[in-house]
Amino acid sequence: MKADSKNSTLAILIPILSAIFIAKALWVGASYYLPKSSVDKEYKSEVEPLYYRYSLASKKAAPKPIIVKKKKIKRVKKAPPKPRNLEVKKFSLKGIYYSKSKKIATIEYKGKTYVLEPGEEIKGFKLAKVMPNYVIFTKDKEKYRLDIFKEEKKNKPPRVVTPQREISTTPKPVKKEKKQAVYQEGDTTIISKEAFDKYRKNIKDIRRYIGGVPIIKNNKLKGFRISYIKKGSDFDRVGLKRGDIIIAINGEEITDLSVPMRFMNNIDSISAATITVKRGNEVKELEYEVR
Amino acid sequence: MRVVRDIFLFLLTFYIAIVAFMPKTELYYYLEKKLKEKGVVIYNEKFKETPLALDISNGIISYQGLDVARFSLITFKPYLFLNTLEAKNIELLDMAKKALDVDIESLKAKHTILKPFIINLDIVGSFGEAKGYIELKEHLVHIDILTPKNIKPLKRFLRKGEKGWYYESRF
Repeated sequence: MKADSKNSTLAILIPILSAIFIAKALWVGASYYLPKSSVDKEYKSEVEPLYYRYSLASKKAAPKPIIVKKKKIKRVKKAPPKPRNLEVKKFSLKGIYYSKSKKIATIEYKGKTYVLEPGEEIKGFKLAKVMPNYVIFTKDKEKYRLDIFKEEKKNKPPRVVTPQREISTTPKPVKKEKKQAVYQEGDTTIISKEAFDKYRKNIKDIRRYIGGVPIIKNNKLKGFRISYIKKGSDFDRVGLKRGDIIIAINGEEITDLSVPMRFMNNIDSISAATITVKRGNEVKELEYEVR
Repeated sequence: MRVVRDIFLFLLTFYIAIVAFMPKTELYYYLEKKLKEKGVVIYNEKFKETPLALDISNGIISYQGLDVARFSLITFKPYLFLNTLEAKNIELLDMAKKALDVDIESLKAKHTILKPFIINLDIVGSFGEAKGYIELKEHLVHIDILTPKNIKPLKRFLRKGEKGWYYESRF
């Protein structure tokens, strides 16, 4: 009787145990091919991308700082003429890094390259100011402006900026033009601070004037295509065209939504920006400055 | 008769063992890997695996690098013949919230082997109750809003049909 009972228990256990064994073996085998860890979000560097401009022009073509003679003002006693600091003529502005927290200028002098921050000196010339398109040096109470990307304007009369006032033979932009929300100054589009603040505070309103659609290829974000621009609006004058694909902001490629989001989150501190757009087969860099 | 009993015992035990021994967390990792290829990443989540279910809690869903939603709990019950997913308290974040101001209290997705290409959906949210389905073969999502409450933020995505408001899109 006992043997019969043992046999019947074994007969029940065999299919049960073999089923458990096969199931477990199947999953152990499958587990070998399954990932062992969770996918984590890839955090992009929180470092603010630097606004950067550089000149690849040859030394010959590189713009030279130029000094303008001061307007002659008749005085009873003529002040002795100031010695000219002509050494600055040998400086060449090769590049500018411009961000909220860091401003750096790359200067070439007699074949050597110097990287300067505001306050630093080169041959007695103190770097006083770094702007997105130019730098200001000071020496002996005189200011010297060094521009970048001004090859086409190298024949324009030079100028010296005095601490009291700026005397320049270059025609000043018409006042009316300066009041415009958006206007061109050389290669750079200048956006007035008032207009910038207006749109910054009402970001939702921007959608009324300009629209963009994300371009996704192989499940990867490649940029934003400008789907419309309202004619006559400020956005119509910023150099963007319908069909343009914005592919980078401040040199940072738009590979996911965090890039434009970070730019929007830091919009309060923006004073200059570069937007790279693909127009047809051409890639263009659009420079902006808030003033 | 004994053979039939043995086969029945084997199949029943095999099914239970397959469900119980299923490496649910690893299978979820595989799903995550596939979602990542589509730009969707679920992160920050905590796992609790039991023989019958997998609980994933406090996760954040990001799309193309942007956090779009947070959930308090998702429960997977993979029983092979009937698979369910239940998500609770899905809250949209940041820009997604600005674009679509809705919250989802619960979302239930059911898949049965009888209709292998259809996933049925039951949703309760700030917009009311909704029922729908995903047709995997047709790449179609259809959701009917059964009891609309506050559908204003959703209206631009909805269409009006004979039964009322509905959402339909292809993927």
